[in-house]
Amino acid sequence: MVVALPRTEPERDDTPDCYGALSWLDDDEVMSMDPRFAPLNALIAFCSTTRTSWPRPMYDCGYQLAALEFPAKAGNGRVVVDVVAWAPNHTRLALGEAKAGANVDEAQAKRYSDVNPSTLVQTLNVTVTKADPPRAQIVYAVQAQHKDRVLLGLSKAGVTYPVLSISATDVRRVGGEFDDPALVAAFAAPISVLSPPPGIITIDAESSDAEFDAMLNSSLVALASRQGESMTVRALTEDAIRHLFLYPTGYQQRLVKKMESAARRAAAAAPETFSYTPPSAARSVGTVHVLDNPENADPRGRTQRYQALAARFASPTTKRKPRVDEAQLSFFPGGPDLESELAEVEGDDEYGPEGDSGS
Amino acid sequence: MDRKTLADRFLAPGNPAWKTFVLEAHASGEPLTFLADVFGSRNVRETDDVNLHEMWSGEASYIVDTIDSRFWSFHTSATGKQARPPIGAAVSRRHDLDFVWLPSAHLRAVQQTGQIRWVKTEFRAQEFLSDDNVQDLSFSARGKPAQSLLDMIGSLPEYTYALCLNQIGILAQDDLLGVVEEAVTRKATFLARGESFALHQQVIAATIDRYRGLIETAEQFALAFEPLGDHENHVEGGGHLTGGPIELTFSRRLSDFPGFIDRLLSSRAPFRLWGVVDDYGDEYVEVDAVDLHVGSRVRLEISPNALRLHLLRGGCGNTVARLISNLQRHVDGRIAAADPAIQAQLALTPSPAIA
Repeated sequence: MVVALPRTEPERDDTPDCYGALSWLDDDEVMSMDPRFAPLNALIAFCSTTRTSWPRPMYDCGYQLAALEFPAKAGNGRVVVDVVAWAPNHTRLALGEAKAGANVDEAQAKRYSDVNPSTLVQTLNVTVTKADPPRAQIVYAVQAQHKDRVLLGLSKAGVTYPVLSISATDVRRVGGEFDDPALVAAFAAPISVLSPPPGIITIDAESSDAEFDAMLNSSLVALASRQGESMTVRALTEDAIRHLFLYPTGYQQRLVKKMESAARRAAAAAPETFSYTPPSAARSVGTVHVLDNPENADPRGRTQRYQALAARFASPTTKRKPRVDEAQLSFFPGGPDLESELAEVEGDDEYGPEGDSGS
Repeated sequence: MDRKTLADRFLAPGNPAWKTFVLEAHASGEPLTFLADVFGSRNVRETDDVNLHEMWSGEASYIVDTIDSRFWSFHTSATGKQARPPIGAAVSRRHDLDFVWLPSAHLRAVQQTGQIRWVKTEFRAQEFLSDDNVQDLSFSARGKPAQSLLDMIGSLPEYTYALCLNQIGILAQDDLLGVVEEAVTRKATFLARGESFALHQQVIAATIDRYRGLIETAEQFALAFEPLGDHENHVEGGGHLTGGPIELTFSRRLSDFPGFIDRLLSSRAPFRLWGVVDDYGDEYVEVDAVDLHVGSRVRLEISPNALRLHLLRGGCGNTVARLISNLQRHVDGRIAAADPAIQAQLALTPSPAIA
């Protein structure tokens, strides 16, 4: 979904201008990143130890990621915290709730305030090095277009938490103020963003069939390229959705079921390469078999087979731009350009492992 | 055959230049068994040294040194035409063997072990850049000022992207060991002639140690999710995340972004990346790609200005190095990493503490 907007300069000199200003949260356009995941990935990346063009204000304040989808005790109940960050130097926790949409679960919002920071420290197994009592800060993250409804929902719940409103161009704190002075300063002004956040979590049970297909198909191609013969759909799901273990068993099974459907579609799309055996009385999950492995072909044929697989797995509605091949190597198609051929005569095999220029 | 015999062979007069191909190997069992599987059991033989193995393929014979369990040295005195094809063919068909892909700064750093004699750059971007860019640039210079001349050309800001060091020649000298003339390529082929096999080995070891620093640092970024509790009894959900993406920034905006994506994910050498892109945007593309060489998934987030790579736990740092080295050669010779720890290992600048 990707429409170029006028470029904005980063506010901070140390932020590389990598992606340009993107309208990656615009619902009207087709985009690669499902915008539902933007708040969650934004929170994760705010605490990331790894530097990218996405800002890290919480990491800069000493917060590091402690857990994801953490089931925290909240009074007599429980709340599953999307992102838990821990600032050991300040003995502070940040409990992040990432909203995929605009609706606020009022009961959940209230339960957040019942989380006891000391209990959380005990269950998280983090190390406290200062005598200060641990404190916890709840923070919501939302897409900018949903911020008003989320603020209203929090108000109805009778809580005032800071809400990080994420747009395609910046992140702003709205709603309540942070308790931690460092975070107050970090979010005092809008923070420019020049890219979508890194896609750490990119799929869930509500994702489209196309999203499941993309993940499963790449796992199948990886299986083939390792010269694997077969894999259960459960194993393929674990390979494709690396964060599967974050979820309770029941939710994992929903994802596996989605992958079963994707496996069936993959075998139908590329029947010469993959077959799908559905679950049976003896086996609770299906299995995908590699029938005719591209790796069995010679190097040039192998490349062509993989290219054919990409074509088979491409959506019929692929939005691909017509492109003039400006990099055409030869004015006389049908063979390599003369310089390449000369290099070949001279034994230059630096171009690739198999000296294969593909098709 | 033992190490002394190997050193004597290096010193034997009249042979073609000594060649050492360094490959990254992921052998799951004994090296000899692995070599037998790759080159045929009748073509390998153990020696008096448990880490040295004799091997034959085609018209070439090799001594394979596996004392470094990850980076194996294939020594031979055969000609290039005899020695290179079996190595290239083995790497092509095995996902557990790969070349060492030296970024330009690593190749340039070879001069730390000797006096520079010549340099060759080769930028081949016809397939990736339109003709309003420099699409090909080859440059060679001989003599002590060669590097200085290269630096002068590299200081032309509008053309630095078109410089990619491809080969370097040095004269390595040591008061005790003597003198060795070395030529090194970006795929870590070392050609040597001289008085000391030990000095030749030192040049290789220094180069590979720097490279190891890069790929092991990259592997520290590999993404992994760990469940909070016991895997078998895990019913509650929740977990820890370690690692993060590696972001590479281009020194200039790519002019033909869809074309770049097309070729990057074409399954072809040199990148050998497979991927399906359904939405070709002008500014941003995400893809669950497959590194066909090692058979592992790798998530890519790409814009005309940068490329993010999510290496997954168990993925090989060589995937990152291969991508960087080939991007330098075919797209942008001045590509850099956003994270200072990776950049330090890529550009061989003083290393910060890894965050």
